[in-house]
Amino acid sequence: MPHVIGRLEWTLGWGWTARLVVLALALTVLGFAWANLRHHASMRERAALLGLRGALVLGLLVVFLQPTWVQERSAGRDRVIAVLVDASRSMGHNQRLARARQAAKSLSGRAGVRLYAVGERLRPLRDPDALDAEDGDSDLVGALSQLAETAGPSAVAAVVVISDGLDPKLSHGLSDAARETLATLGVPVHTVSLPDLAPLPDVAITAVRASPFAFARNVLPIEIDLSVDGQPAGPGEITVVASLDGVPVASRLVSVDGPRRRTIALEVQPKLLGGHVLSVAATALPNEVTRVNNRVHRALHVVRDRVRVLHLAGHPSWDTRFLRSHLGADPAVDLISFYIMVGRGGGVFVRSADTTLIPFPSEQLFGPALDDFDLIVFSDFDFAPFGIERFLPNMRRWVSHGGAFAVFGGPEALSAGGYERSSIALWLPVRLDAASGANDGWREGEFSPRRTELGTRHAITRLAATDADNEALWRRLTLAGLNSRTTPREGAAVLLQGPEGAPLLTVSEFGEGRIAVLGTDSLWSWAFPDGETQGRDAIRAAYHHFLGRMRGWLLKDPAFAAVQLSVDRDVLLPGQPAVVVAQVLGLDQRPAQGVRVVLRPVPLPADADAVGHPAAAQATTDAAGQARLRWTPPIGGPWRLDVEATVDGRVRRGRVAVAVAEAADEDLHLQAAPERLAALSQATSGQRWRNTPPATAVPTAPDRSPVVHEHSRTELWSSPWVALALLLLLTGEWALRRRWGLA
Amino acid sequence: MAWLWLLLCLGAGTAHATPAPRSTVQLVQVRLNDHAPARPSALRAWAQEVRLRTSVRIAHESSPVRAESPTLLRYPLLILAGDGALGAVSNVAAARLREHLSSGGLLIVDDVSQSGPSPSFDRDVRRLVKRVLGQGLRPVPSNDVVYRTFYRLAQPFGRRADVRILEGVQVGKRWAVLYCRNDLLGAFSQSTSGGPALPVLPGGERQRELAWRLGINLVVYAVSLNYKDDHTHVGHLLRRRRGR
Repeated sequence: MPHVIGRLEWTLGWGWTARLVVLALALTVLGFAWANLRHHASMRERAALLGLRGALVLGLLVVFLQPTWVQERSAGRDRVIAVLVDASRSMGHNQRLARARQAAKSLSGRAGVRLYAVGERLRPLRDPDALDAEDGDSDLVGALSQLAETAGPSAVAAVVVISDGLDPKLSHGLSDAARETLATLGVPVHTVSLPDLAPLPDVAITAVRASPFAFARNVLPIEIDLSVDGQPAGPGEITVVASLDGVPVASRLVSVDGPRRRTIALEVQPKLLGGHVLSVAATALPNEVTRVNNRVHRALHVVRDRVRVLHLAGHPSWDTRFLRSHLGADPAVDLISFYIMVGRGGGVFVRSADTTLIPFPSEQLFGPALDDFDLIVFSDFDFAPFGIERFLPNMRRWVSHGGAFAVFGGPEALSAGGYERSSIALWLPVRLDAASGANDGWREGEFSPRRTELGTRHAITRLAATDADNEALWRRLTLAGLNSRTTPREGAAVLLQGPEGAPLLTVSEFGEGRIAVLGTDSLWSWAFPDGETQGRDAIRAAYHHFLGRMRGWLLKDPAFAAVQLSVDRDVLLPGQPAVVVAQVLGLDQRPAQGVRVVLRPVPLPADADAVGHPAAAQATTDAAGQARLRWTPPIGGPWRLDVEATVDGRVRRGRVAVAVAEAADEDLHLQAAPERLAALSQATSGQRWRNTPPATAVPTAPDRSPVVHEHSRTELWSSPWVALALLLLLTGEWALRRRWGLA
Repeated sequence: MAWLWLLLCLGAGTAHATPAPRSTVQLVQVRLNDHAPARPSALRAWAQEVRLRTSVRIAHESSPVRAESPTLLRYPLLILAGDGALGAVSNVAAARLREHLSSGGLLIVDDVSQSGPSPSFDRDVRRLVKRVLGQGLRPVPSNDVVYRTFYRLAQPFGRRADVRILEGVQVGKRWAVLYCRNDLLGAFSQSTSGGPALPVLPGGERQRELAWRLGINLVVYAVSLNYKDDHTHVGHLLRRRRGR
């Protein structure tokens, strides 16, 4: 039945001041009329004429104020009660689905009730029995937003949410966006929670708090929230283990004496730079409902806080002195030096009590402390007399695990220092032939170093911005003294040559580490060039550029890594594709275009004996030197992505560790969380019930919202009858004045 | 015996016929005027003593190098010795010295006056240092690494013991000039017979030994700078590991 409502509106737009002025004018007109008639007409005549004049002025006032008659015709519309039933995977536990069906059935028979299933999105539900628990994560607020959009304004009278409360987006309370959605909806949200009849037996790592960045060799504290629910049937202890790239590095035994939440502190000390995976795992109990929440993986980026350099020299020299100045000028370098201060036999003339000399600490430096260094430099160092030979296997392991090693030559180094009789000769980038005489293995004399074809393009030997400047600079550089009897080892790269093509600067990769051998002790002369040399400032700068670039290459600074990898997100999910971007640089550190890149994923911890992991993706680099490789992790856990590219005929490798979550958030939390639903009710003045709403709880008759269908306006002042009435009043007054002789 | 000394002297002369390798530390006097080099035998003895006691590869240049000469920059370690006014120093010489010292070189200045520090030498040295490096000489602290690069020393002794401190000028964190006013070269000077040429006063041979030690420390400082300070880091490193 439609409703009709009418009302009068005065549509004149003028303000009250103007209206008062007009009213005053009208009264003035009437006043003049009365004054005019007061002495010339009888009482009856004055009354008639003033009545007519007053009616005329009143009529004009009405026309002036423009009265309008507004009429609205409205009708009611049915509003629905939306019942949202959780259909996410967590509803499959502890008979929650059956209880949800029952609650939905109790409401579905009522008039105006409309059922919806809620998972990652909202969908109509015709039959409560058709409800399943196969959707992804719950998103209740998203569903309410979707409801507001699809139903339109004022179409919903109330909302009832039936859920276990395990909505990952509600885990930290209502966000501002969620509150805005509820305000837009503008109706009470009643909630029917499905609390667990008894807690599910479960051990879960519910949170891991640790910085996503760590400094190499520094302690990284981790806080782990561990929850134990239900009555575990297993042993009374569980072990919480922290791992880096799948290798356990810290653990703690935790006693289990019933349901409890606790925070456990562990510490790890990452040593290798780059992207790693920090995993925390708790041992599973036999009757646990799920084990996917026993393991959590996080990306951990390990950076270098300072470069720790160990500089060992066979004797103090100009080369060691200027190298020391170069390293010491960098505030990011921690330099520890040991120079052999007394020559062979020299101790006879020196009483140690008078000196500051200390014994060479071989044991301390090459034992466990070795791992604390990033770069080791030998400067013209004949190490044989100092018992270092027995530590060389340790040093070999250190390099192969990512250490950087530089050998600066001289009359006591390489073949001249008898290195060929040591095991170091087996892994240096140069082969060493035995010297046949006292001065063999070392050749005096000044020479101009010559860059090899590779050296003209390599990052270490690129000392100026342009090729022409680089070429001109190298023509001015000279050195004096060269270690002879060396030949490059297979796989090593000779960048600089001395007289007769003898290797001067030879570099190679060794496992994860890098090695450089510079067969001279006169590099310092670039820092202190002869006064007859032209362009001495440029040569001094070249000294620092050369050493800086060599250091960067040895330490694999990001700018010098041949293949740099990045993944489009920190934590991946099994079955969800991710994009791995490989940035490939040439030897000259410029983007390498058209390079075939192969991606090989390796689950961690990698079996040291396993080789030839299958390729997961291949791509070719673009003009920016980038290749995009798609990879879908099959299972959760720590993974290493190995990338291989052949640049300038040489195989270049890059690797990064990535964390793949064991499962989505929906599967990690098991126990029902009624308190999260309560937040929805409280924010909307809704009611809360457990399991089934009472029969009288939700209004059974559908509410109706008024909707205006018709709207009409009639301008009373513009009617011709008004004009005719005013004309009649004017004519009547004129006729009476004529008749009574007052015109 | 005379033929034996002659043979040794000839041998020493022959050794200098071929130039020392570029990377060998060379002791050389810098010459600012036309005066003859002071204490000419001292450098050879000094280099020999450094060779005997340390592992530093060292030689000496018997001919002084002129400050104006481009070859000045072949020698990162220079010795300026004198006993009177230095005289006028040319702009070229000052610029060459400035480049030398600011590029990493070290100038050891020694007042070799016979009976005590020379006021005129002292005045001209201070004036020269100020002109070349833009800053004046200041005392080297008694705990500075110069006093412990090789030997532990309490004060600088030379042939004399008139001044209890060294003075110097730093460029950055390193000493670019070190100034001894106690005739260090006088303590090193040798007679033709190979023995000490001059008596050391007032401490005698004990003082001469301390002068040798200062000479050793200065050379070792030139090629190792504050190397001895690293060892405090080692202690820290080892303590840190033990604390894990």
